[in-house]
Formats: sequence, C-alpha cells, structure tokens
Amino acid sequence: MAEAGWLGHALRMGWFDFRRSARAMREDTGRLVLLAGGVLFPTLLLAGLAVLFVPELRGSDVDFALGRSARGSFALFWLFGTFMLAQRTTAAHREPVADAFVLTTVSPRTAVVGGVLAESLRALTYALPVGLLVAVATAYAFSAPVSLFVVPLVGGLFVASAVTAGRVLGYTAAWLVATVPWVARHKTALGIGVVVAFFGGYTLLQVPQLPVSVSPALLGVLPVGWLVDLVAVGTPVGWSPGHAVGGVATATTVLLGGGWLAERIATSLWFGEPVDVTDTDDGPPTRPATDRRALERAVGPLGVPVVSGPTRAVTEWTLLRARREPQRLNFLMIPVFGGGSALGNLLLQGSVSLAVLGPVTAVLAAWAVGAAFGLNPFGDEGAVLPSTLTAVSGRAFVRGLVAPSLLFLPVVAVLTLVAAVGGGHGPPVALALTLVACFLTVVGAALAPLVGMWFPRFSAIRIGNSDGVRPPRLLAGALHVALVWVPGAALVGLVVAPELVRLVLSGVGYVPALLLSLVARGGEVAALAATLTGVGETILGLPLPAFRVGVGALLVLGGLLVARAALGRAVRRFDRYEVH
Amino acid sequence: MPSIETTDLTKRFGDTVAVETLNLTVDTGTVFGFLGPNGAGKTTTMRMLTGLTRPTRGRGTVGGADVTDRDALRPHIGYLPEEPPLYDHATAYEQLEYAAGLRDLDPTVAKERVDSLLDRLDLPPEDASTRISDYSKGMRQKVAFVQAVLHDPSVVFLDEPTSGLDPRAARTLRSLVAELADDGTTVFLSTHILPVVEEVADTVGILYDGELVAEGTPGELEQRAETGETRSLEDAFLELTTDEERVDVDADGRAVATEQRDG
Ligand SMILES: Nc1ncnc2c1ncn2[C@@H]1O[C@H](COP(=O)(O)OP(=O)(O)O)[C@@H](O)[C@H]1O
Ligand SMILES: [Mg+2]
Repeated sequence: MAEAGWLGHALRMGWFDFRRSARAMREDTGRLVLLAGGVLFPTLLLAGLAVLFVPELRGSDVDFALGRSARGSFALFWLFGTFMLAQRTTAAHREPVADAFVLTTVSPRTAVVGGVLAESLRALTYALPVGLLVAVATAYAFSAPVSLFVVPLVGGLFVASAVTAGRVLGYTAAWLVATVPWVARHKTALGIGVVVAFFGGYTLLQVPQLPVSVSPALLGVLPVGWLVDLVAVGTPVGWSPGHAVGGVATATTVLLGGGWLAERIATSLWFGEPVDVTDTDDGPPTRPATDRRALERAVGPLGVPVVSGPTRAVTEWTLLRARREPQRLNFLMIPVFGGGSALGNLLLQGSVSLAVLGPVTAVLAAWAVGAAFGLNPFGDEGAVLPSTLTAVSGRAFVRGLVAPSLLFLPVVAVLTLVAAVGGGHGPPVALALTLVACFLTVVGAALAPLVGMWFPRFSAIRIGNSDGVRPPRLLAGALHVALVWVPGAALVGLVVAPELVRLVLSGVGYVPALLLSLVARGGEVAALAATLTGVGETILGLPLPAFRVGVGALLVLGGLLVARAALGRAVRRFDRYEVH
Repeated sequence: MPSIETTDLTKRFGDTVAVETLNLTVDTGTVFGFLGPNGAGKTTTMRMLTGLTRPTRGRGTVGGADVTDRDALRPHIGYLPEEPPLYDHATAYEQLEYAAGLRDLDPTVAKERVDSLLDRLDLPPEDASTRISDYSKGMRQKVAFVQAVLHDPSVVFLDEPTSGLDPRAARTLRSLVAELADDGTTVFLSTHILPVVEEVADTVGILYDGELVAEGTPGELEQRAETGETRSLEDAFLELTTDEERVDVDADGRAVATEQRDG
C-alpha cells in the first residue's frame, strides 16, 4: 500500500533525483563534453536538414500516408529505447538512490514512480533540443500549429512508457538474479546472451543488406508504434485516427500497467531475501587441505607466472577485482563495440573489404587488453588505498598493474592472427600484424596506470550506493584511446597500406599550407605556405620501403620510450601520492 | 629510545588548521593513547606519521625514518585507518593474503600468523572464507586489525580500533594491544573512548582543535582534573576540551579566553 499523498512525494523525489544527477553530470567535465556532443551533433544535423528541406515542403502538396513501415520503425525505436533503459535499471538503478533512507520513509510505489519520473526527466533533457526542432519544423513546414502540441505530447508518452517498460524488465532481471540461484550463478553469461540476442535481432531489422534481414514493417503491428500517427495530426501527411488513438491508449496502458507491475516486482526485489551463491563459486566455506593460496585459488584457472613478491600480490589482486566485479570492464565495450559496429556497417555496405578485419582487430584487441586493468589505479583500490600505500613500493604496484594485461597477450595474438588470416592476408602480413598488436598491448598497458593516475575516479558512478563500481574516468579512457589508436593505426597502416600512411602523413605539410594560402596575400606567409607544401611533397615523394622501415622504427622506438617514461612517472606518482 | 618523535608538526588544509605545532615523543614498546573529540586532528596526525599526508611544516620520525620518506617508513609501520581498508568482494583470507603479499612475507609464516590472530579475535575459518561484503562492522574491524599487525611492525597506528566492536571483542583487542607493547611494539592508538585508553595506555595526549592541550600518564591527567571529588580521565578530558573551561585569569582578575579562535 502506498502512503497518503504518495504522488506528491514521488514528484518531489523524482525532481530531487533528477537535480542530483544533473549536478553530478555538471561536475564530470569529460562526460558533460561527450554528452553535449551527443546531443548537439544530431540536433545540428537535423537543423541542417530542416533548413534545406522545410522551405521546400512548405505549401507543397504532400502525397504521403503513414503506413506499416513508418509505424514499425517507430516501434523498433521504442523497443530499442526500452532495452537500453532496462539495462540502465539493472546496472545502475536496481535500488532507489539512498535506498536505506527512501525505503524506510516512503512506500515502494512512491520510490518506483519517483525513479521513473527522474529517469524520464533525464531522457527528456537529452531529447529536448531534437524534439523542439521537430515540433517547430513540422509546424512551420505544414503550417500546422497543432504540431507544437502533439509532438511534445508524443515525445512525453514515448519516453514515459519506454522508461516504465524498461523498469519492469530491469527489475524483473534483477529479481531473477536475486532469487533464482541458477540465474545468479550464470548472470554474466546470461547477460551477454541477452545483449547479443537483442542486438542480433535489431541488426536483422535495421540492415536490409543482410541476406536474412527482416523488414521493420513487421513491427507495424505493435501498437506503441502507432503513436507516430499522432505526430501527423494537422499536417497533410495521411494518418489514421484509429491508429493514433490506439497508440495513445497503448502508451497509457504501458504506463499504468507497467507502473503497477514494476511496483510489485520492485517490492519483492527490495524486501526479499536474496539467494546466496558466494559459497558455490568459492568452493566449500572451509579451508581446503590443498596448500594453494586463497588468492591463487580465487584467480584460477588463470595463473600468474614469472612475477613474484609484492608485484605478484598486486597482479593477483587486480585479476581478482576484475573477476569479482566484471562490471568494471564494461567501459571497454564502448570503444570496442563502437569501432566494431562501425566496421560491421562498412563491411555490410561493401565500402571496405574483409582485409581491414586484421588491422582493426590488432588495434581494438590490443587497446582493450591494455586498458582493462590499470586505468583507475587509485580509485580501484578504494578503501584499501591507505593500506596499499603504506605497504608496497610504487615500482611493485605499477608492475603489478601492468602484468595482468601481459597475461592476456596470447589472446590478443590469436585474435589478431585469426582475423588477419580470415581477412585474406598472407602469413607474413598476418604475423607482422600480430607483432604490432602485441607491441600495442604492451605500450597500452604501460601507459594506462599513469593516465589513470592523472584522472582518477574515486566515487562510485552512482552516488549513495556504496558498492557501485568505479570505472575509469571518461577523460582517462578517451586519452588512452587516443594514445593507443593513433600510433596503432599508423603501425597497422604501415603493414597493410603504407602508401595510405604516407599520404596521411604528407597532410602535415599540405593541410596547414592550404589553410595558410587561403589567407596569404604574398609575403612571408605565402613563402611559409610554399615551404610547407614542399614538406608535403617531400614526404609524398619518399620511397615506400624506406618510408615503411623508417617511420615504423620511429614509432616503435618512440612507443617504447614513452612507455618507459610513463611507467617511471606512475611509480613516482604512487610514491608521492597523498591521501586526504 | 623514542619510536615516534615530532617537532612542530603542522598540517593546514587551506585556512583550516588541522594540526598545529605538535611536539610528541613516544618511547619504544609503550602504548600512546591519542585522545580528542571528533575533528581534533587525530586522523590527520596519523596520516602524517604514516607518510600518507605531507606535513605543511615541522618534522617527524617513526622508527628512525623520516615521515616524508615513505620507502624508509614502510617496513616499520602498520596502520589501521578509521575506515577498514578492505575490499568488499574479497574474503578475509584473500584480503589478508594480499596484505601479506604486498609485504613480501613468507606465505607459510603469514598463514600461521593469520590463523592464530583470527582465532584470538574469534573469527572462525567459515567466516574468514566468505565475502567481506557480508561482514558486520565488528568483523571488518577485526580483519583490518589483523591486516595492520600481520607483518609484526615495530610501530602500529590504530585509528579508533574499537569502534563497532562488541564488548568481548573490544576487550580482546585491548589485551592484544597490551601484548604487542609487551613484545616491544610501539602502539599509537587514537580514540574518543576513554576506558580503552585508561586500561592500556602508558601515556596519553589530549588533542583539541589541532593542539596538544595535555600530555602525561593517565594518572597524572586525572590529578589535573579539578572538577570535584570524582577525578577521572573523563573529567580531565571534558575539562580540557571545552571552550568555556579553557579560561585563564588575567592581571586585572578578569577571566579571558586562553586564546583566540577564528571561525
Ligand atoms: N582533506 C581535508 N581537507 C580539508 N580539511 C580537512 C581534511 N582532512 C581533515 N580536515 C579537517 O581537519 C580537522 C581534523 O580532522 P581529523 O584529523 O579527521 O580529526 P579527527 O580524526 O580527530 O576526528 C577537521 O577540522 C577536518 O575538517
Ligand atoms: Mg578521525
């Protein structure tokens, strides 16, 4: 049962939570920049399109009616949003923020509705610029002032229903993990399975070039998609009142029914006794007779060869953390999936050949393995940091952070080799790519601790949740990506397409020369531009074999020197680090 | 021979003075009780003495090593911070093995020491092999204590070690502290719980607003309390750490505050 006045409480809770997350966002510069870019880019793109086409549309006859494929696409978009929001629920919003306080103060209904409200406000904030633009452009293009009302209405219904459905699914998943031992034990594998299945289905619907693709028109039967008919109200685009009403009714039903369901599932999740599976994946809860050490057992079957002493302890500890909290590694997905899906798209469109598979794998796999363990050394230690600082030398600590990445070198090598051979490269090229991948892994692993010490993250991603994970700062991740990907791309380029690298490098002369010549009015500036053009020409004129060997050697040597310097600096940073 | 010596040790955070010209001497094999209300500067002092924070001014040595030289300091010290330095997703065994590994202890020796200490503190092996996330505050405190003394350091810093312990565990801890001192270990123990200090401390220092306002044996401090018949450490503590009590009489017979305090 909800307390009296629960709706008011929920409104206040949602607003408070929204303001809290907005404040947290403002304080995290890296995230803010990325987010602003993520919002601005589509807005500008859409604004450009609007400027181009809206005046054309205005006053012209539109002979177009919404059909199954438009409704299906809209439904697909809704499903996509719901899935993402469900993931956010299980990952970050399993419990209300400051749950101990909230759950002893208000009813679960208030907490659920407050959470839905806060999440909807967050989603609407991101969608606001685009939504506003669509509303204004539609109203102007079709002289339909009613669009100014229906577009926000549809946007609000769309977001609120997707958030609610996402919460239901997310709570359900969390509830299954909390109550079904089998699910709890295999949650990582199951989670990956669900993500792969969803994105697999999504790709089938989205990429018509696939041999077995499915038309999104199929989803036109889902009534959430019918909301799109409401957008067309008042415009000359053909729409159906039946579908519009059906869409609104469905969204409302999802909102109310979903809210009812979410409350029930969440109550059971928040107040139920979770199953305990720690013993089963740790072995029996007594000390086994074997003399294998507890830490060694914890990271098995992985073994830590060669290293010993304090370095070994740090290495095993780092691996233990990655194993016990695999969510720590989720941040690797963004660049890897981003790069991977871009590549997948290019392959499907036929713009690139399979030959890029090897080089791309070399860079991506090497980066991911190099970045996995050391990008937030101080934050990862958490409460243990004072103990670590008073117990171990910086040298042993930093070496212990690098070692786990080196342990995965064989994986990087095999992946790259398979991708290169699969992409049609001969053994010499495949071998060269593999060597490059191993080199990049080593350099990336050596750079990670220093980058992570420059931009540490100490607070968990979710404020008020003591055991939330602390992934590396976005800035640290972005910097590490730049430091590994740019020289990495040059190196793999030298292996498979040296002439391309030479062309790009000649841009060092040509591009500033071009810019200068645009502003030059004779005199020194023009002379400088000519010199720079000369530099570009010289680079472009270098004989390919010499260019390859020379630039390659330079990159490798530079990488090794930078890696060494980074390790030394990280050691010093640890030794001088102060706890406040 | 003193194990801990400080000269004008001072720490400022911007305008806040956390510790002001602290001059301390703690002899080897003794227990020093560091008393003071919340915010007095106890934790900051311990962080300076363990090399975790650099002093703004002044010097300090622990076991002969300068507190700004962490490499030299490391082998001598063990530290139990206020917040138990434990990783929730590890078991106590894993945590303690990590600590032993960082110190490069012999695994067999370390294991024996862990087992005997955990046994003394009533933490059975069944509990020690479950995740720390399931522990009570007291269990965490026990594991963190073992972690701090595992390598048999010559100076141990314990920041509020009895917080969260039940009476039995608190008593065990007190006797462990006494044993450490008997074996020649110097113990620097901060607390605001007076009975702990009364029972185990050889000398006591009272810190108030960053300044050492009294130092002596518990007996000496009790003598200094002037609040009537019951002379206890508690009376001394309350008297020394309250603004109203800290008044002097100036030449004209008017009461004036001993010092001006900003903020
Ligand atoms: N990192 C810091 N930044 C600013 N002020 C601090 C910091 N650490 C401690 N202080 C201040 O220093 C004073 C002493 O704090 P602390 O040493 O934690 O006291 P205690 O341990 O005796 O409770 C307090 O006023 C506290 O606010
Ligand atoms: Mg303190």
